[in-house]
Amino acid sequence: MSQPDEFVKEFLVESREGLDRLDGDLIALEANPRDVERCDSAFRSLHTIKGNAGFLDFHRLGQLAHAGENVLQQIRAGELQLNATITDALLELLDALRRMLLTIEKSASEGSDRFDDVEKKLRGLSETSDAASAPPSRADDAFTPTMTFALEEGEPNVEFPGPQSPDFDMATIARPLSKGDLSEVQAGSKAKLPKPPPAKREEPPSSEVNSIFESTGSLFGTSDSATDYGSSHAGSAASSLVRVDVHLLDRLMNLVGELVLARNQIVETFGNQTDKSMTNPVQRLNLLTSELQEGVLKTRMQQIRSIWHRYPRMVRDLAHNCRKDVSLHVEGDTTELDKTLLEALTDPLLHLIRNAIDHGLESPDERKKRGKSPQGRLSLRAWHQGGHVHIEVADDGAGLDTVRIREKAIQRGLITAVQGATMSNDELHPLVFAAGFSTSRTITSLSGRGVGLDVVRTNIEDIGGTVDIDSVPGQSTTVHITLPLTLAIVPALIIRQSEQRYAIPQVNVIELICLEGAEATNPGELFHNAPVFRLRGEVLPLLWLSEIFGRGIQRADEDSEDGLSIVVVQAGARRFALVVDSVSGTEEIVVKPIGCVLDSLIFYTGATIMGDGTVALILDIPGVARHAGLLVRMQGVAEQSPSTIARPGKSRENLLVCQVGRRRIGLPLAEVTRLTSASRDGIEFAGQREVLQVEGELLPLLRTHKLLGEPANLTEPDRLPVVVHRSGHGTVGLIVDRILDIVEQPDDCREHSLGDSVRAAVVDGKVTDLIDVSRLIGNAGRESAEAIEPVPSS
Amino acid sequence: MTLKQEQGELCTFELDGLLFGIDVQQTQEIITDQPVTPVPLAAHMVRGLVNLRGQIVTAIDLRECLGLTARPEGSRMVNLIVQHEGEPVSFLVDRMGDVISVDGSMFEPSPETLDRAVIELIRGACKLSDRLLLILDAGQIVRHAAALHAAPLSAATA
Repeated sequence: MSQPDEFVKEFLVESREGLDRLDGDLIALEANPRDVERCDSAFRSLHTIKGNAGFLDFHRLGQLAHAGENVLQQIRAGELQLNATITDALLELLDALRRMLLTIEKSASEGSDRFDDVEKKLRGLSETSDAASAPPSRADDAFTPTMTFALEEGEPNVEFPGPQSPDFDMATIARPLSKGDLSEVQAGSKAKLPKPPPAKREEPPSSEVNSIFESTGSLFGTSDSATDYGSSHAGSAASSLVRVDVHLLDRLMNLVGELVLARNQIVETFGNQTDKSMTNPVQRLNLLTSELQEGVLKTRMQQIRSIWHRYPRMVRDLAHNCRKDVSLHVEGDTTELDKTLLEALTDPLLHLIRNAIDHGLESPDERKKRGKSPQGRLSLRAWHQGGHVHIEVADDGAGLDTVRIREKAIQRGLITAVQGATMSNDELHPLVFAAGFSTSRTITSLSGRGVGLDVVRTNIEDIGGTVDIDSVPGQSTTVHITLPLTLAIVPALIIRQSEQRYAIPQVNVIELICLEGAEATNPGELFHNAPVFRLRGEVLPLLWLSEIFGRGIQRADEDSEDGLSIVVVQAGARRFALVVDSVSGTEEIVVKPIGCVLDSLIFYTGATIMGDGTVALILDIPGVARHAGLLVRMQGVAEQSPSTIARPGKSRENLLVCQVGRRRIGLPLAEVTRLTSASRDGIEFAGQREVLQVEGELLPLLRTHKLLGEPANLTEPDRLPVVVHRSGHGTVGLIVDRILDIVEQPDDCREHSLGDSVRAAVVDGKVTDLIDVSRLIGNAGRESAEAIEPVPSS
Repeated sequence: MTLKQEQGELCTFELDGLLFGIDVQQTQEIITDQPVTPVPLAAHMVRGLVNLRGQIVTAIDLRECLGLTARPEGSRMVNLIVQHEGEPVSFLVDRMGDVISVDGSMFEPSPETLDRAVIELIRGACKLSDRLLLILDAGQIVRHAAALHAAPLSAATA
């Protein structure tokens, strides 16, 4: 089939706008059935679609629209009273029309799906109009079966919940409603659903803005309710707007960006001159350029309501579906955002709203039990602050269940049990965004939350934003999204490598580290033949950017004053340390495409033009990570690592070196299961022994300095480093003063025996006791035999 | 369409003393003295990126591309901006020549003695009164450069 021609394209765009407007009108009408303007507007929208469809020879589409128009006509004439059943049927018609439009867009024909059931239902509604007071339940009985059938056939992607919500069941939206239901819904929704915004996405006349807040009265107060929707849509709005290709706007942006650069250079050169004939025009150029830049930036901006205007309907449907009573509060929907950002935001926001209604808010009964109002409150807020756009999705539901999150996170291995025991709620909340949390069915049914939140986070981060979650148990959950004003400009860290500047997007940067002196010449250590860098107990893969670029590792000179610059970066959940020549600072950069020749290189997301006009590449940290993953594996497999990394001497055994009192002790790394820390308050007593609760079990703790006869550490920190050691004697936690290093025990290491369980060796130039922990524990065990075995909890 | 039927204008330039030409319809402009930002891990003939009035353009060194002797350090080069599928790409050449009119009778197939890899990049030869001119296929050169980036390390080990 051919592509649709220009007329059809225009018809598609117009009709979709009309349908969006109809959505809003119908929801508003349901809340206030006597709103004549809304009714007229809905009728006109449908009538226009019908007329255009007839003109373009889409007969079936016209017929369907006609059926809906009849119903609306009768409502207008007062022959039919709008209720939830009729609204459902009409909304279903809108969905059917949307699907037809999609088919037309794809194949330039109406397709074979005739949506007879939808038409039949609408017919049925207009026929019953003679007995306008007929009980709605009768209509329901008659139509429910066909309705379900139609929905089973429906394409999920046409419906608003989107493809990644298989759990969303359209059929239940259209569930038969009893009379009681109806009156409750109607009474409940009165004056709480804000009027959906008009569907014209572009700047509407201000009178329309007022009418949006008519019912909430939150921003503009009450307004003239006699606003004529119909005429403003049909007349002024259409004629004062021009549709512009986004690519054209992109090009304008580009040119203006260059103009700004040129302006900067001119202002710098001529700005300080005393010659008036020169400074005046320069100043004017300066002003004009700024204004032009602002104007062009604005052309790409859209109000967030262009995606929010669908939410009243969505919230209504979802609330019906989940049998919940939800009021939606919208604030700041005139906040403007870059068009590209807005598009990328659509899915994540849908997800968050669905989560809030499905899992966050409790059922009316439960809410009553907890002493809350039976009606749940869902609020959407958007505002500008500090050069960012902030968006908040908040509900006053049950909040996050941290107990379940902790359990689940430990079960999934996201955190260790020890971490779990010591993490605060604030630290636990972000775990719901971890990948894998979403797929878990149990956490959904038990505690709610977490369905696909990792997707939300990924989507938001893809557009340079961040997302936080905040929750008060039993009271509320708030998801806070922060976005840059525009995708085109991102804050970035500028680094230098081999005389060139590179930009690393700030979202990927965790922290900067500068090593000096001896540390700089030998920053990492080897772990299974891969260089790693230890950052406060966390072991990170260590990479040299110069090596990634195929130039080999350039080690810092011992006496170099600059030190070694390490950028700790994050790609998804993965962190690594990147050694660069130097760090220049942060800058707001304009991301530009890198061109077709270099598109296939995974290391760069694009390039940018620096203030002096030269080009700098933007590093793609996930791309670098992928490359790095390969590097590490290669070195493990093929032993072809650059010799500069590998330390001389073949490895025999890795030792974990710790400080205990005055002594350095070395523990065989093979026996160490993990390193962790315990807060002093977290240490409890079981009998005479100190224990730590871990995964519901008790981890016996041993004060290593006591075992070794060292004096107790008087300046004990709040968090004690714990080496979890597993051997034939079970698992114990060894409290040490400090975890120093992981080193390889060299081949030629001479051991000096100093008694039963202690041998000493010179490791890295220092005397280190090689501890046989099993022996040591055995000695301690004789003192208090029963407590040393791990005690399973009841 | 074969070369024999073509006629039109060629934009000529020199590389390592040889004369080359590109269909003038494909060329956009010439810029000189642009700082070039190198792109690590890109194909060897990709010299780097240049800033063309705010647009970032990849510069391909035609000497590298055609396997000619490397350009001496510090020697001047000219960016010949060509349009490839609606996007500008820069070809780095030694010196620009004239725009000349040619017709089909002057064309010859490429000399068969040329390197196999290079032959794909050349559409044919053109006998001028005093010297031979090789006509380059700009599209092929760009595709060639785009396909030759550093292979992922996994492929190297396999």
